[in-house]
Amino acid sequence: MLKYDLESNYRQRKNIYNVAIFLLLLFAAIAVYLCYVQIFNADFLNNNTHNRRSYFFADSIKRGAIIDRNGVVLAHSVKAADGKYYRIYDYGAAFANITGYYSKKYGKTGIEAQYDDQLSGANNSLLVFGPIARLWQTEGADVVLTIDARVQLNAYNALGRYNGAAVAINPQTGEILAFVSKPEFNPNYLDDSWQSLINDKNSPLIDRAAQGLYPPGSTIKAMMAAESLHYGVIDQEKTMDCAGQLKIGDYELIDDNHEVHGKINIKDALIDSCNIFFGQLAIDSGRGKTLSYFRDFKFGQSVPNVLNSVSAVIPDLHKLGDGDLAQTGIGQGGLLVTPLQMALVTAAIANDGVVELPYFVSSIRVNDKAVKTFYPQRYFSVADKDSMTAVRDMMEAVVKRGTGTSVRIPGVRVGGKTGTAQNPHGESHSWFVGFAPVDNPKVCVAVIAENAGYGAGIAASVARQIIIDTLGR
Amino acid sequence: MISNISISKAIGFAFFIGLILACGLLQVLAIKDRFVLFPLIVAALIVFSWILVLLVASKLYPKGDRSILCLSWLLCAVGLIFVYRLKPELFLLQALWVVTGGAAFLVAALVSAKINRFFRYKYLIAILGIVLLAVALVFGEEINGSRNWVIIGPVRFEPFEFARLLMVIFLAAYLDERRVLFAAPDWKLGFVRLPDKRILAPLVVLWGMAMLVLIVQKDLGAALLFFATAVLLMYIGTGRLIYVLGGALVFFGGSIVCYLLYWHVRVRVDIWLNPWLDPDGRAFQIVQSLFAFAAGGLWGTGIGFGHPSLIPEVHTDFIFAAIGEELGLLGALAVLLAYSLLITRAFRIAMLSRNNFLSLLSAGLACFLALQVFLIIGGVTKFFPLTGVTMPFVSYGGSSMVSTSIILGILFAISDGECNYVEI
Repeated sequence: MLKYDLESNYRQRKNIYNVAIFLLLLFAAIAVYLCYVQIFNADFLNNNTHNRRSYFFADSIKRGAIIDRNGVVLAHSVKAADGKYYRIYDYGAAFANITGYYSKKYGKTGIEAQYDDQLSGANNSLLVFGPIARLWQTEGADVVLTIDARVQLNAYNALGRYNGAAVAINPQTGEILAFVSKPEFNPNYLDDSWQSLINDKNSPLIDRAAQGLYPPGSTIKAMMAAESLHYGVIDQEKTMDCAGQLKIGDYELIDDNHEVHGKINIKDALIDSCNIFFGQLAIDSGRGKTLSYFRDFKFGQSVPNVLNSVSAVIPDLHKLGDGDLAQTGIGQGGLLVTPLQMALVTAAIANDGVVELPYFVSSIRVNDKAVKTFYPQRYFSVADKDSMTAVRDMMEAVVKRGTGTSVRIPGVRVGGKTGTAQNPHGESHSWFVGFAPVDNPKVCVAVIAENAGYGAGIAASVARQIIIDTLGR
Repeated sequence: MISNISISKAIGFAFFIGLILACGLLQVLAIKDRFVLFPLIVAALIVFSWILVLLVASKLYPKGDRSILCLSWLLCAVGLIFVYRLKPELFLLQALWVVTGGAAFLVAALVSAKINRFFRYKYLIAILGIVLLAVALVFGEEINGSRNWVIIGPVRFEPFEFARLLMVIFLAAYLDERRVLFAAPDWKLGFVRLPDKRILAPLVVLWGMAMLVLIVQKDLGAALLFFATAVLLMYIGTGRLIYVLGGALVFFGGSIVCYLLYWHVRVRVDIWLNPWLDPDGRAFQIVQSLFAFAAGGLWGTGIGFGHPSLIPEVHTDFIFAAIGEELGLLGALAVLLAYSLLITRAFRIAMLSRNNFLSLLSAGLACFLALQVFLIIGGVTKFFPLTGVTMPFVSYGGSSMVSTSIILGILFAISDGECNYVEI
C-alpha cells in the first residue's frame, strides 16, 4: 500500500505541476492583456466620448489663456468658489469664431479644440513622471495668437449691424491679423443659448470668414487680370470694345447701369469694373485656362492651417455654356468663395504671387516663456512677379480714381477692388479686397457685408478701418 | 525557490508592509487636506495583530510556510488603502475583517492539526456544504443581481464562500479514496474511455449543482469557480485530461443553454462581447472600468488623483480597476505578481506534501484561489465575461476575507508537514 501511494504521489505531483503552470500562464495572459488596455488601447479609451475623465481633469487644472499678439487676453480660466475652473471670454462675442467655445455639454471648437492638448495641460511634459508630477501643480499652456485685438475689435464694430466677415492677413508672413464673422455668438453663455443658436436661421455658429460661401462678384476680376496676363491671353496694351452689353447665344451680359466704356484696355476695365471686358476675357481664355486660374489659386482646397475652412466651389465649366463662362469671369454664376480665400488671392497679388500659409497661432507659452514658436510657411506660388506688379498698379488706380475711392487714406498707397455679389434672396452683398502700402504690402484684407447693396460702401469702410489700424495710423 | 522565511524576516516584512500601509493612508489624508491619527493607529494595531498571528502560527507549526502570510499582508494593505480611499466609512470595518481574518487563519491552522480526520468525515462535510448552499438558495437575498447573500441582523455573509471550501475538502478526500477506480478505464463511449458510471455519478452531481447555482443564484462566477475547481482537481487526482476537456465541454454546453434561456446571463455575455453597443446603459460598469485602467497608463494617476468612483461598486468587485487607475500598470502588475507568488507557494505546498489527500486538498485550494483571482481580474479588464466574485484580501468584505484566511490557515498547517504522516 505504501509503495503504491508513493508512486501515485509522484504522478500526482506531476499533475499539480501541470495545473500550476496552466494557471500561471492564465495570469501571464492577463498581464499581457493589461499592458494592452493600459498602454496600447489607452488613447482610444481616454478619448472616448463616453469618458468623462477629461472634464474632471479640466476642472482640476487651470486651462491656459488665449492671448493676442500684443498680450491682450481673449480667453482665460478662473477658479470659482466650488474649486472648479471656469472659462471666461474677455471680449464676449468679438473673437468667438477664432477662439471657439469650450463646453462640457457641447464640446470644443476653434483654437480651444485645435490646441486643446496645450491649453488643457494634457500634454504637459511633466506628466511622463506619473504620480510624481503631482508634486508640481501644473497649469495649461497659453496660446498666443497672430490676431491683433485692436484691429479685430474695430473691424467687428465697423461691420455694425451687417452680417458678413472680414479677414486681414500679413501677406509677407501669413499671420492672420483679424478674422471677423457676423452674426456672432457669445461663448460665455453658450450652454444657455445653445438651443436658440442652433435654431437661428442666420447660423451664428458658422464662421463666415472661413466657412461662408459667397459669389465673389467683381473682386474676382483682379485675379482674372493677373492670370490672363500670366498665361498671355491678353497684354496690358490690348483693348476691347465695350458696347455696354455682350450677346452670347441667348444670354446677354450687361454692365451696371448699362454703362458703355468704349475701347478700353485691361487697366481701365478693372478701374471701371467693366463686366463686358472680363466676360469676354473669360471666353477668350477658354474653359481649360479659366479652370486653371482657379486651381492655381487653390480654390478647390480648404486652407490647411485653418480648422474647418471650406474650399471654394468652382462650377464645372466643361458642362456649361459660354454665358456661364462669361458669368464666372465676373464672379457670378456658380462660383462661390470664402472671405479667407479672397484674402489669399489678395495676398498673392500683394506678395508677387507668393502665398504664405495663413496661421493663427504664433507661439505656445508656459509661464510667459515660449515653449514652441510657429514660423511662416510657404503655401503656394502663383502667376509671376510682372503680372502681379501690373495688377497691383491697376488696383492702386481703382482706389485712386475708380470704384474704390472711398478707401483712400492720405499718405498711404492703397490698392483694392470692390465687388457686388448678386444675391437671389435679397439685397446684393458688398465686397472689398485690398492691400497696403502698395510698394511694400503689410496687410491685405477681404471684407464682405451681406445684403449691404451696391457699391463698396460698408465693406470698403471696414477695410479702410483695418488698414488704418494695422499700419498704425 | 526559497524554502521559508525566518520569523525575524517575516516580522521585518510586517513592519515594512505597515510602512506601505501608513504611507498609503497618509496620501489619502493629504488629498483631503486634513490629518487624523485614527487610521494610523488602526494600521499599527493591524501590524501588531499580524505579528501576533505570525508568532502563534510559528509556535504551532515551526516549519509552516510564512511567505503566504507575508503575501496576504501585502494584499490586505493594498485593500485597506483603497477601501479608505474609496469608502472611508468602511475602513474600520475592513480593518476589523483583516484582524478577524488573522484569527480565522489561526483557528483554521489549529483545527487542521488533525486534518486527516477530515478524510474520515468527508460525507458529513459534503452534506454541510450542501446545507450551506441550500441556505443560500432559500434564504439568500439578492444584491447586485446575485442571490447569494444571507443577512442575519447586521451581518451579511455569503454561505457560498464557505460551501465551496467544504466541497474542495470533500472532493479531495473522495478522489483520494477512489483513485484506483478513477484511473482505471472500464467502459467506452465511442472513442472516449470513461471510468465506472457509479464513480462518474458524483461528477455529474457536481456539474448539476454548479448549473443549479448558475440558474438560481444568477451567479456565473460562483458556478464557474465551483465547477472549474472540481474539474482541475479531478485531473490532478487521475491525471486524465478527459476530465478537463469533458468538463469544459459540458460547462460550455450548459452555459450556452443558460445564455439562451436566461436574460441576465445573456446580458453579461453580450456586454462582454461588445460593451460599446450600450456604454451608458448595461455596459456602464465595465466601460467605466476600462476607462479607469486607461486613465492610469503606465505610472497611474497617483492615489487620490484618479476618478475610480465613476465605477459603481468600485470598492468590492471593481477594486482592481481603482488600483489600475491610481497605481497604473506597474501597480496592477505588482498586485498580480503578489497573487502569482501566493499561488505558486500554495502549489509548492501541494507538491511537497507526501500525503496524497493533503496534496490534493492543498492543490484544490490553490486552484480555487487562482481561479478566483483570474475570474475577477479577467472580468474587470474585460478579458473574460464579468462574474461576481471578490478579489481575495483586497476587495471590501468579510466573507471573502475570512474564507480566504481559512484557506491560508489550512495551507499553512499542511506546509508544516507534521500532519502529513499522521496515520489514518
